[in-house]
Amino acid sequence: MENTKQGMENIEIHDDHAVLRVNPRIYPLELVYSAAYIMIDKAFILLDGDPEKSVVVEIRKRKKDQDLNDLIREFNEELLNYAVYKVQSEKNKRLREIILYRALLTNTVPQKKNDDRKMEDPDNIMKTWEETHSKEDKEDGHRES
Amino acid sequence: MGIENPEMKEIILNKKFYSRECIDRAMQEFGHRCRVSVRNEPDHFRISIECDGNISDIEKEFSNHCLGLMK
Repeated sequence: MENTKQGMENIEIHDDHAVLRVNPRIYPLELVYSAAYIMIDKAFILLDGDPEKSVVVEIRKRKKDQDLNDLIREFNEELLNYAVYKVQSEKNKRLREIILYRALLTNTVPQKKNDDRKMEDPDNIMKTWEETHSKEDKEDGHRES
Repeated sequence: MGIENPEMKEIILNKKFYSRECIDRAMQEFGHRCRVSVRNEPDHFRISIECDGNISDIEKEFSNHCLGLMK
């Protein structure tokens, strides 16, 4: 017969797995996904229940020597971490937007009009042969006269 | 020399938490080692996995993989 311990109301610990009930009004489903994602290399996670009322998280050991209590504790910590991150992120949202807006504004280079755009040509390579030589011819003409 | 019988494993995934799209992607990714089929039932997907040789906990690995794709 399987032993079942009930530590807290929302946690059931069985021999090889534990069942955790999460209130989605406190921890929204996206947080449950995030916490579960972190845990998938340490345990087998299965989600069930109702995303509106109660999310049932089944945590199974990957290795026999793992402690279910540790896995539950770790899952709860991840859940809490993400919840705090989400709250802080909501609080700082406006500030982040302002900083980003300011940063983008600072890096904006004022656009010049097309007429003002002149390319540097120190060796006169952009001039045509006629432009360069007609000037020289005139100079020569002046010298001869 | 004995030929190992393919072992069929099954797992049920709740439709409210696992999307068909992620299951299909996971099926593709597991497809090179196992034969995976999905049955669409009213509230859940019933996944059957059949591998050549015994791959332990393959059905749980599959559900973990789906969960990873859901994030």
